[in-house]
Amino acid sequence: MDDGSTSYRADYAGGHPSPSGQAAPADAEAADGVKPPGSASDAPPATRGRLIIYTGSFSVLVGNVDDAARTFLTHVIGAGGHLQSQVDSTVTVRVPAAQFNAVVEKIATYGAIIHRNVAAEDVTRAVMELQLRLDNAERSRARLLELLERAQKMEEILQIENEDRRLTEEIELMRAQMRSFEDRVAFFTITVQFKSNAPEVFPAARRHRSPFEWINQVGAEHVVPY
Amino acid sequence: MLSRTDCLRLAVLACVALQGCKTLNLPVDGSFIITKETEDEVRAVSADEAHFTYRTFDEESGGDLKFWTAALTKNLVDGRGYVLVSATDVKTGGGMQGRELLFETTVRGRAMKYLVALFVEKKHVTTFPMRRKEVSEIHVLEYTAEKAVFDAHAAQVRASVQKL
Repeated sequence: MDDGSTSYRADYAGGHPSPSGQAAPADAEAADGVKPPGSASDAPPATRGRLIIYTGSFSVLVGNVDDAARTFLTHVIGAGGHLQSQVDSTVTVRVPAAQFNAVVEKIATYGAIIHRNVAAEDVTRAVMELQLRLDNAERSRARLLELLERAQKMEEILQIENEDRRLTEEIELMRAQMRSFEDRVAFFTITVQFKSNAPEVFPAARRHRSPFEWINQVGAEHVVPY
Repeated sequence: MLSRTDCLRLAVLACVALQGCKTLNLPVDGSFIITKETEDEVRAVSADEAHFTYRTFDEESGGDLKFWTAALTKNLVDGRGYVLVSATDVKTGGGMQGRELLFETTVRGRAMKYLVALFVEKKHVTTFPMRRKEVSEIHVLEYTAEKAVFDAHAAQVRASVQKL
């Protein structure tokens, strides 16, 4: 279903992170004249006329997974964010929109980023449409209440009350959607999977031999002759 | 005195042997010296102990680049504990498509980066007695060094792919 939002997405693997960590969203937004949050303007996107939701996911090789996850959380909390979930060494946090770049840049200081995905979703149109539908529904409900005051017949009253109940539920649902948009625009989501630095090559006894002999002959341990 | 049949057999074997000959040129220069060079293997090392090899393997079971890339990745990651850092398409100067894989691992206590580039060529060989067969010739370029050293030669090694 088209929710009126536009997504921008970029996958990265390896290499040095871009200064902002948001090369793709910045590029994607150039056409719209919208800048990513951060250095250019720390104002929340909502105040710049466009509503952009950024999400980032990263995998980082670190020396000590627990220390890195703890340090990351400390930094997120210091930036005004909070923990959303933590499953093993995968930490998902919400950070204020204006702090997104700073937190993303910090991730690169923990170790080698082996996977990076930053996506931007423009929800401006979706929010505008939702607001219009909400306004219409509230106006309709106000008219229904006026009609209810003037209604004489029981059948008419019941009909209006049923319609009012349906509209009220619809309005509550739309308000919840609006609150969700507001929350997602104000706080962006970052997921970081911390992985331990590559371990020692398995000892021969534990190593799985390939059925293809040439594969068993290649590898760093065979290239380094001592 | 050789019989006519023996002569024919020798001629076939010579053909087979000649077909198997390969000429490898060291695709790096300057900072590496060759420590071993045979018809299907070149090994080189730099002063700061970055290691480079270029080998070719004949694989009679066939298989294309995608297959061998997957098989090698699985063995290194699942079978030996390597961590895959990146995988990218590469191309030799001659236009041969390949795949470059970059891993991290630790060898005898030293944290290493390991780059391997694979290229797969189909070729026909003649086997005894006079049978034509398609095999895959797998070109494997490997470069490994401690993390602190790796980047110093990585660009040179990657550029050497152009000379393959």
